[in-house]
Amino acid sequence: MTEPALARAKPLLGTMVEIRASHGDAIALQTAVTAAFDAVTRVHRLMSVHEPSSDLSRINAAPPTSAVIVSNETAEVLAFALALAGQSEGLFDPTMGGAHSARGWLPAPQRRPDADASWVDVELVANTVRCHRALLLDFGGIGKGYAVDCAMNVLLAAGCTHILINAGGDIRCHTPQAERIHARLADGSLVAALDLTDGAVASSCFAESTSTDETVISRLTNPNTRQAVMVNASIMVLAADCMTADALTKLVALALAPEQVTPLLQTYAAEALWLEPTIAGVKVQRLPACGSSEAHVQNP
Amino acid sequence: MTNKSAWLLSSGALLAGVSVAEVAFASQYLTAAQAQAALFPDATEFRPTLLALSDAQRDRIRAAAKTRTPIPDKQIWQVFNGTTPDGWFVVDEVYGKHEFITYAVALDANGAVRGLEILDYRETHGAQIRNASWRQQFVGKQNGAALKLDTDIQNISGATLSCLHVTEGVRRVLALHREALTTVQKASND
Repeated sequence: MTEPALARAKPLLGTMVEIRASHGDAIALQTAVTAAFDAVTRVHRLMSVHEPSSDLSRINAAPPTSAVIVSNETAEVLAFALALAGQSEGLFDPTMGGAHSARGWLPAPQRRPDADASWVDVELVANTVRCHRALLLDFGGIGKGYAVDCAMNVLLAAGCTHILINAGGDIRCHTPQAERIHARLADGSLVAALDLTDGAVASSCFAESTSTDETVISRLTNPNTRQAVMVNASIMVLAADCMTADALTKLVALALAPEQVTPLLQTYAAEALWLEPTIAGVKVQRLPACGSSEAHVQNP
Repeated sequence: MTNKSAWLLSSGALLAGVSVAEVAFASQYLTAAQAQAALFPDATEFRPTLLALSDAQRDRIRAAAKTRTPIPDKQIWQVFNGTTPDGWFVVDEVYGKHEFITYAVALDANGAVRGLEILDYRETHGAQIRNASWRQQFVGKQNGAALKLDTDIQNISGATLSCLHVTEGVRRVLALHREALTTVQKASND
């Protein structure tokens, strides 16, 4: 007899969040999936810059050097973000909210951020955050992945199996048999696939066609230049957890050359796939490079 | 993590993949009955409610949101816990450029959103994909930035836009509640 299975989806985190899971007991399964969605909602409430009462909004509104006490979850994400900022020498920076806000990607701040502020101005000790300059934290690059990880922890603790969580392309999987995850182009054509049993994959294209004029914009800011970056590629990163995978897609995108981030990918035991459209087709590059890691997909 | 070098990139698979041009994604989640149980676990009755909206009401409801699908006046249930009205369960459909979404929204007795479930998600651009000129717009475009990734698992590629469409839909359901359901509720309270 097969175990009861459930698939539910809700609009959360500004995207569609889908959870699939199985459990020997149908009631326990329903309760666990509901609790997993609640965990995602909680992360959204704590870390959304669109919610005035969120931890992030409180940090962003506080006068410089004043202490803001945050939840364990926010402290965990911030600690990870600051560590990655250090390891990448600022290539990943969670304080680009000011630049994003100036471009209208985020709501206007209550207080104008210091144009030169960066991650080095953020101090985290246990659950206390102090910003030494006026800045705007934005977890756009990691919050969604972290929410997926929180949902996974809830489902694992409840004894669920065959778990698959997908938040608009940030995917975490824990299944006995491999799940095949496909990378497609906008036209639906397949360029790569990945068999995932226990791990996470995040994908980013840093571009959106607006519904009105098809203008293509980038939602990525280079922390060094503070300029919007047009990334001529789509990126998928495979890692043990979704927050790491999510954050590393941004790093790979910001790297001057994909190879620049290879040591960091190795630090996190992660792999990246770089898909670049060319006139001839799609150039596919794998990082860290191994064997014949480049492939080309020709246009039909 | 037990995945070692899990990318499947053999050129054969890649080229075979590219020839798969016809795509029609669909994901089904809960049925309406399952969503009722999930959103109102303590309810004892879901009473179908038929509304006869006036033209003026329809105009006001339409003005409240950008949603252009028919107003969901045929798929409304008033929810009871014993004899106490506990809220409303409404099934609605919204669409974007490439997708069609059926969702259920639960309102409490005061008309506040209590929960939401996606019932059905369909991508509807299969016909466009077969159209070569539509495909061509993504090839070699300036900055090449229209390349987009998604997965087969839930097949939601325009997820952010879908989210906005659902948000607009909910805005319209709230207008529907304001215009018509409050009156029904008053009647059932008496």
